[in-house]
Amino acid sequence: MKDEQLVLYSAQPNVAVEAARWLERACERMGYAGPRMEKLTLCTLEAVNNSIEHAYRFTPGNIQISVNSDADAITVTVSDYGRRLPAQPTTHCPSLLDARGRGSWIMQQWCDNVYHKFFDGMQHVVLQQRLHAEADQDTLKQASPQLGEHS
Amino acid sequence: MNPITYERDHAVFRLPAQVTLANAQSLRSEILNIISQLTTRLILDLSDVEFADSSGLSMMLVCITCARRQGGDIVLLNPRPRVQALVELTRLNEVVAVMRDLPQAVESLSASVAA
Repeated sequence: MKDEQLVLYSAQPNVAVEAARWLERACERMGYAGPRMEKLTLCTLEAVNNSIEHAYRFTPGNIQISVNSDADAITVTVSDYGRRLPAQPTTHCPSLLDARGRGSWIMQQWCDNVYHKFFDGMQHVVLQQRLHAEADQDTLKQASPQLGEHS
Repeated sequence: MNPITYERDHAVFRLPAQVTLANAQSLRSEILNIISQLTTRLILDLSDVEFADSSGLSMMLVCITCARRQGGDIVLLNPRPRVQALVELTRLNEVVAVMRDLPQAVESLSASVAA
């Protein structure tokens, strides 16, 4: 198992994109790349946006992004100490003009598992992609030996 | 580099590397200003966009709606694969034309405004 972590301050400029870029590099170090990884990165960007926009709407704070990989999956957790927000499972694609729910929809479509946890005073959004799922050819070609051999 | 280039009957606005929550509002103001002051026929060049999120796409939809209300239109040009994937997931491509090269975009814009 490999894992890495990053802590950012929600009031920093461009914090979500910084998190996305960091995650891309971390995934590449773990041998995970390609379109599925890019989708996971965007889902993380959306989760960080939710922390900024909703959890830390009135008071800024730290956002922690962690990524870990094992033989079965790559998992990103976005954690904050902000206002607790109810999970928003959506069964249909929200209109782009809806104020809420778009990010949740994207996460649900592009990750194999999405769930929310609350503990230690923090809320955590967990995004997971299974490595056994339909991996694109780029991912398979670039996977490290530890992650590979899963067809 | 100036992000806006003007042709005879339309303008091309080159979006920056990120079109996200962080800058969606400022980009919206800039684009709406172009629509109200200069031209309602606009091509949004996405060639440089590395990161776009749902807020960025929402911004584009607001601008598209505004342009159409004023008799014009907006066409999206050359999004990168990851941005194209988001456009398709959110079905923005069902609302706006997405073209791969500038001549196609200009032709699409002309056709939609003429219709």
